[in-house]
Amino acid sequence: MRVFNIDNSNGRLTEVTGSPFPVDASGPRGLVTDVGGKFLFVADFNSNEISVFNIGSNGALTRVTGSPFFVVGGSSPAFLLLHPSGNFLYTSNLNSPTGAISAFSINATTGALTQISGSPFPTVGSSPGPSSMASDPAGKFLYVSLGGTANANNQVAAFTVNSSTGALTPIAGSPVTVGRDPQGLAVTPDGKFLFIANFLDNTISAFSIDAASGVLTPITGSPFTANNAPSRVAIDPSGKFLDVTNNVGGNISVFTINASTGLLSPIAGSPFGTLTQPKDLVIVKIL
Amino acid sequence: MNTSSSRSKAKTLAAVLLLGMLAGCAGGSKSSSCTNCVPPVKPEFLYATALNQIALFNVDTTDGTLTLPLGANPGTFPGPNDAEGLVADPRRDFFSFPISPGVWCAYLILITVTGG
Repeated sequence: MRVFNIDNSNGRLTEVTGSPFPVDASGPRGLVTDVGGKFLFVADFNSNEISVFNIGSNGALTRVTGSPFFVVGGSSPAFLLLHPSGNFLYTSNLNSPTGAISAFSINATTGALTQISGSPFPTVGSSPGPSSMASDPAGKFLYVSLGGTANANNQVAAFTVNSSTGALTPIAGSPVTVGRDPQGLAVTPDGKFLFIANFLDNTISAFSIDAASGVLTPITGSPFTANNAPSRVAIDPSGKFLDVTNNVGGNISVFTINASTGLLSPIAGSPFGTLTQPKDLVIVKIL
Repeated sequence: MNTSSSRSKAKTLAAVLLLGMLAGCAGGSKSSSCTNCVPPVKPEFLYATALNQIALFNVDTTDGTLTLPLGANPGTFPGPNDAEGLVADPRRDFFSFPISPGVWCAYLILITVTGG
């Protein structure tokens, strides 16, 4: 695990002392921190575990007691999602025959994980390849893309989240059809729209989210044309822009998001950059 | 030695240091006596993992435009060859200050190194 400090004035990165830190994981993939920045959670794709680290004041990582935590009933945990409450952690099991999502409660003091009752929660059968996940800001709903090329399901599954237990319940009409090999997805800060990058279609699917039920409805104009092999997506903190890495295109597309309709429009100059196989992205706003 | 005076000087120095750090934290400085002040622009950055590098862009928050930082080859940093995950994390050390509950002005970037 490599850890960098950000210079707040210019964004430059400096690797912290001791980095890279050993995580004793043969296939570290997805990672998230807790709300307070106290703990780092890392999915180990190969060992079917989630490692938890304390993040030191200097960025150094120290494994917490009990880590790694085995994903009971899981298979190849790939991506992680922290519930907005900070109480629950979810991982998508990429090679699970039922596309199961494993759920854990988080001990806020120690960072220890406890698998919650009912976990793992299936999405659909026939190895749907669950990958990226997103939730609305209130944490009422959870969405997961079901992609892959060998056995592509080209769908997004939707769940309601029990705010007390973290348990997942499929939403009526779930899963919904999207483009080929859906990967990254993101919900706008107001919780009104969901966007999904369709890697093999070079498109972005867009849905409106019913605030009460979480039901997804395609918005007019969806899917929207992206660049070559859109991979991951991120929404600007203002909610005005959608940024997309184009893995084969080697650049980053930026769209404006119509706050009322969710309509995407590429901004002038988009796509930006000349990169080799860009994949993940994150937007950092200095406050 | 005047103990009271020493304490007073120490308090003043601490206050100056704290204000200075807070100003830097906010990305700019602002005199408490200025009028019609323009609030400092809060910088926003986009980081993307790519093959063997991490790319950095400045984000124009008004129109969404991405630009490379100024300088010679400034927009990339050596990175892992196949980074699967990237996360920004609020940093909790003594150089950081909470602006509002749960929101911090300094961050770490943490990146998964595949295979190691």
